[in-house]
Amino acid sequence: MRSRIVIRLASVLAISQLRSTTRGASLSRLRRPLVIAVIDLVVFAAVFALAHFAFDIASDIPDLWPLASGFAKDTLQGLPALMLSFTVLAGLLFEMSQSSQFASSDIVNFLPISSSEYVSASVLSTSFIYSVVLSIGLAATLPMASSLRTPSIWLLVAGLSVLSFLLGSVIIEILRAAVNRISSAFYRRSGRATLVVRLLITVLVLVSVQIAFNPNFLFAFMRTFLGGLDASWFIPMVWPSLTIINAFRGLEVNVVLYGVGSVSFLLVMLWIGVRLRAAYWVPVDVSVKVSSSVYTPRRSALSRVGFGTVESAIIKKDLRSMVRRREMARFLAVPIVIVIAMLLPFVLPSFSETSSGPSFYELAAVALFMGMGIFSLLISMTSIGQEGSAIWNIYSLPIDSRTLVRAKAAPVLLISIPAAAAMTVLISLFGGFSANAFFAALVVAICLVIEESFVGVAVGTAFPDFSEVPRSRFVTVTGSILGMIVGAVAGLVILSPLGIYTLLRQIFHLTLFTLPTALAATIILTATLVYISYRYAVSRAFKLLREAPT
Amino acid sequence: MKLPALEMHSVKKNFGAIMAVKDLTLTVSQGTVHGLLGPNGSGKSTTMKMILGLLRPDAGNIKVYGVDVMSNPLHVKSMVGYVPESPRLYEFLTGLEYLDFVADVQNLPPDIKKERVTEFLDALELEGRENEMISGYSHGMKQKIAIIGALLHRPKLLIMDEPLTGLDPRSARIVKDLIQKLSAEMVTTIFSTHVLEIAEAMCDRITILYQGDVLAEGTVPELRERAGMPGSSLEDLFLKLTGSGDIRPIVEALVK
Repeated sequence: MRSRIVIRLASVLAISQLRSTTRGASLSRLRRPLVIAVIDLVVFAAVFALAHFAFDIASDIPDLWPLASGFAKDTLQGLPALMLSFTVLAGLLFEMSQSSQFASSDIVNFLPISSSEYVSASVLSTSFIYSVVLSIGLAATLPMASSLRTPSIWLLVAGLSVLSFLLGSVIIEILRAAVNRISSAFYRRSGRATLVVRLLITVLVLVSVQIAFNPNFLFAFMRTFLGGLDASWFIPMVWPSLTIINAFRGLEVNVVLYGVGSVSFLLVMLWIGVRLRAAYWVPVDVSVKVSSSVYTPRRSALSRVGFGTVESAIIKKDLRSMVRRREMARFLAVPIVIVIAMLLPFVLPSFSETSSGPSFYELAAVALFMGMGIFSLLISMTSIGQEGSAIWNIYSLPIDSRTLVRAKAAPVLLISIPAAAAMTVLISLFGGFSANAFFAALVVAICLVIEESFVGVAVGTAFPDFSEVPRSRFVTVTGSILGMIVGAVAGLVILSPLGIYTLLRQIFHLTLFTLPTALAATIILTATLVYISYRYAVSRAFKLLREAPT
Repeated sequence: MKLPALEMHSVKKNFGAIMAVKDLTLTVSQGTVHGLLGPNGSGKSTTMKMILGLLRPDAGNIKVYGVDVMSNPLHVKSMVGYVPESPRLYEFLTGLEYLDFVADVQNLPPDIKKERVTEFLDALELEGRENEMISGYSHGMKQKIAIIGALLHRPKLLIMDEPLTGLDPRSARIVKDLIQKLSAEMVTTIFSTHVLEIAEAMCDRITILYQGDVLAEGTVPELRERAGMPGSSLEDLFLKLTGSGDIRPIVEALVK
C-alpha cells in the first residue's frame, strides 16, 4: 500500500465532498480540506472553553460535584461508542448514495489504485469530513478528565475515539460493498418482486448494522443479558469502552489487552472492507426486466383521486424511484433504525421488571411519531435533489411550479398517511388504548406526516443538490441542517396542543380545554404550517424552474 | 408570410467572467434543418438550451413560433422536442416507463401514446428491451430512448445536441432520414454536430459559432463563396473560418 497515493486520493475524495454543490467559476476558496482543519481547531477551542467554564463552576459546588463527576466518567467511557455510532449513522445517511451508474464510471476504477489504497483513502476522507464531531467530543471531555485529575486517561479516550471514528468509516465501506453485492445479485433477473426483494434486503442489511453499532441498544442489551459491560468482553465493539473502564480502575494489563484488541478489531474490519471492495470493485449497472406484459397505456388510478396527468406521471416515477434506487434505501432504513433503537431497550426484560414510567405501547406511539415524521421529512426533503442530472427532463418538459410541488409531496403522503394510520391502529389495539387516546394519536400522527412532508418539500426546493459526485446528498448541507431544525420545531408545534392538554390534565389536574379542542388546534396549526410551506415551496420551485443549473 | 420557427435577437449569455454567447442574432425558417457548428466551447449547447428556456439569456429575446421563451416557457416546451448532448435519463425506469412518463407530461391520449411508442421502439430496434431498466442500457440505447422521448409529441421544433453520438450506423441513418422526413412535414430541426460530413449532407443552412459569436451563416455553397474556397469541403472551410487551418505542426508535436 502506497501511503502517498492514499493521502492524495483521500484528499481528492474530501474535495469532491466539499465542492459537490459548486461548479466552475463559482468555486469558493473556502471549499478546501484545510478549512475543515481550521474549523476543527476553532470548534475545539470554543467547546473546550465552554466545558472548562462549566466544570470549574461544578467543581466549586459540593452538592453538584458527585453528579458532575459521575457524568464526566460516564462520558469519558462512552465517547468511543458514541463516535462509532455517529459515523455509522452519518455514513448511512450521507455516504451510501452513490448510484451504480456513477460508481461504475468512477475514474478510480481505471487507475492503478489497489482496493486497500481505495478503502484506506475513503475511510480517511469520511472521517475527516465529519471530524468536527470528534473535535467537539474531545474538547468537551478534556476539562472533564482534567477535573477528575486523569489527563492520561483523556489521552487514551482521544486515541480510542479516533479509532472508533475510523472504525465507523470502515463499517460504511463494508456496507457499501455489501449493497453492491446485493444489487449485482439481481442482475438480469425478472419481475417487479425482484426489485422489492432487493430493497427489503438492502434495508435489512442497513438496519441490522446500524442497530448492532447503536450504543443505546448495545448497552441495554449487555445490562440485561450479560449483567453489564464487564461481562461483555467478547463483544469487540465495546472494547474501547472497556479499555477506559479498566484504566479508571488502574488495571494496566486489562488496559493493554482491550487496547490491543480494539486496534486489532479495526484492522480486521479494514481487512474485511478491503476484501469486499476487491470482490465487488465495480458495481454492475442493474438490468432488471420489470415486466413482460404488452404495453397497454391506461388512465392512472391516481387521476381518480384528483391528481392531473402530469402530477400522476411524476408521482409514479418517484414511487418507482423509492423502490428501485439503492441510494433511496437508506432513507427507508433510517426511520426504521430510529424506531427500533428507541424501542428495543424497552422490550428487554430489565425494562419491564424495573420500569414504572410509560408503557411500552405509549413509548411505541412516540417512537412511531418520530419515525414517521423523520421518514416524511427525509424523503420529501430529498425529493427534488434526487432528480440528479436527470433534472433536465423536468426542465425540458412543460411542468409548472405548482404541479412540481404537489407531485413531489404526494408520493410521501401516499405512503406515510396510510402507514401512520395503520401503525396507530395496531399500537392502539395491542396497547389497549382508550377510544379517546386512539383518536388523538391518529389525528396527531396524520397531521405530523402531512406537515413534515410539506416542510420537507419546501426545504428540498430551496436547497436542492443535483450533483452526482461520489457521495451525493440530494439536499445541501445547509438545507439538511435547516430542514432538521425546521422539521423538529414544526413537529413540536403540531404536538404542542395535545402536550399542553396532557400536561395540564395529568400533572396539574386542570381541564382548561377539552381533547376535541386540542385536536382542533392541532389540525388548524397543521393547515397553517402546510399552507406556509406550500406557498414557499411553489415560489422556490418557480425560481428553480426559471433556469436549469449550469 | 410564414412565422419563423426561431427568432433570436441580440442574445447574450455569461457564466461569471466567461462570455458563452455574444450578441447572437439568428432566424430559422419553418421546416428547415439548421446546423450549429463550432469548436468545443463555442456556445452551441448554451444557445440550444436558451432556445428551450433551460437557460435565461442575460440580454436579448428569443421567440419560438412567435412565442416568447422567457414569458411563456411551458408553451414553448410543449412545442419543442429536445435531445441533450449526453442525455441522463431516469435509470431506475424501464425504457417503456420513461416514454410513458414523457408522453403523460406532454398530455398524449392513451391510444396515440401506444401507437407512437410502439412505432418508435420498433423503428429504432428497441423492441424486446423496452421492459428492462434503463440502467442496463448501452449509451446508444439511451440515446435512442432520448430521441424517441423528444419526438413522441410531434414537436414543431426539434433541438438536438449531437444526436448521432453513440448510435450504430443503422440507427444513425434512421434518425437522419427521420429528420429529413420531418422537415418535409414542416418540422424544424436545429442540431449540432462535430461530424461535418453529416452537417453538409443534412442541413439546409449552417451557422458556424466561434467563441460565442456567429462567424458565418448560410447554405454550404454560400459559405464556400464567402470564404473564397469554391469546391472545398465543409471541413476545410470550417478549419479556415475558425482559424485552426494548419493542424500538421500540432499533430507532429504530439507524436514526438
